[in-house]
Amino acid sequence: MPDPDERGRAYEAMRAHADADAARRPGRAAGAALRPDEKDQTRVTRQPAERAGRRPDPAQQPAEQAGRRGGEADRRADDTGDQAEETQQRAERPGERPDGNGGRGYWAEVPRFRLMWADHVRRWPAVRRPAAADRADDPPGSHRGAGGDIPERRAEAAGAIGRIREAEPGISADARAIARENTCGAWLEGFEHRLKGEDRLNEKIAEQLKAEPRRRVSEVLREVPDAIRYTFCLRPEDYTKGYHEIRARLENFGYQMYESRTFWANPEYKGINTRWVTADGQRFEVQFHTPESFHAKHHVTHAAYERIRNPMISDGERRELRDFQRQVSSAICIPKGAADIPDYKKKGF
Amino acid sequence: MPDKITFYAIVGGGGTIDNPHGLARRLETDWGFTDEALRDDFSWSFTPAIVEWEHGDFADDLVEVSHEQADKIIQYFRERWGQPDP
Repeated sequence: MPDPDERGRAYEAMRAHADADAARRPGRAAGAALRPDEKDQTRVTRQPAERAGRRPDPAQQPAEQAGRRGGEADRRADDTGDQAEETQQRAERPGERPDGNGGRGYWAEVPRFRLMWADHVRRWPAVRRPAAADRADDPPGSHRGAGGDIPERRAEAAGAIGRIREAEPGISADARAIARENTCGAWLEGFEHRLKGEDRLNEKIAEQLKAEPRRRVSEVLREVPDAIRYTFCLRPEDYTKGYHEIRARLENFGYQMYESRTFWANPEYKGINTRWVTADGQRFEVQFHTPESFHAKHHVTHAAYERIRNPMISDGERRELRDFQRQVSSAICIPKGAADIPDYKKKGF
Repeated sequence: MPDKITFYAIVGGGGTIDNPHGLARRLETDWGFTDEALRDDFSWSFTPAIVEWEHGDFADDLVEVSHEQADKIIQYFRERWGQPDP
């Protein structure tokens, strides 16, 4: 879980970007001819927008503003107060209509989702993940496979993680170049989290080995797709075109896409996840989101997703968590044409 | 007793349902579902793999297979892992 302050900063930065990006558009002055949720965004932040690589220093933001980030955003999201206009505008935008939430926009629903989650946490107190307790005495950097601790594999794991760290700067430089130069207004979100932490990487390897008990650690390590991950955010109207442009730009850098999965028709998660490999064999992941789908994933349903993956929760709670994810996802606008982007899987991967 | 059991072959790296890396199943009841994976001692234990795959968060692919194919996969692992039939 990202820490709450970090999530708050990312939330505000994302909404600031959406605001300023709207203002930059030809013929779309800030506050004019915007959807109600965009109007809401214009009131959320006053700081200039930023893109990856030139994010404003949070320390320079007014302390008073920083201190009320989360609640303020929610209050403003709740303050749109113009559902009729919103419903009419949604009707004029076929292809962007949410799956079904009575026509209310995603941002207007966020406060309700937060209340739902608070209620869920009250009714279902968190349970400890057993693996965390079991590994308390493990040496630093160790990880476990299906058969328990596997210290003989630590050096192998450390070497693979080192190679990931070596490959990342070059890929990141290209990703940032794409963010600067693309013509669809795409920006990198969560760039600071592009590298999966060593502990989480080891945990992921251990989980993979539990499901695939006799696989070699070296195979699993080589195939971890998201040890390096980038997220491009696009406004809904630019999303489909942007996906294709960014894909082409990555290919022009010599990267090969070996998998693309479209989740826009998925009831519990929205977005497109793609997997790539460098000429040297390093794999990385690129996700494509809208501001809404990114926010839903990172700031609304992330804790629910983590709980669903916890073996200690009950079937009843798991069912409620999936219902929660479905409700959140159903409020997200689906960019026109996004759900039609076909899945792709290269043979041999 | 679950109302429904769905099996998934875990494939990747060029694997197919005839030579998968693992086997997972979803047990569904009126109250929800539980996901399990086959361990190398041929017991079943909880796995987040199916949920992760549904979120595009699992390294390999899951392919839904029939109960008959699942039996064949278990037999395949018995032969591969050197475990006798129960």
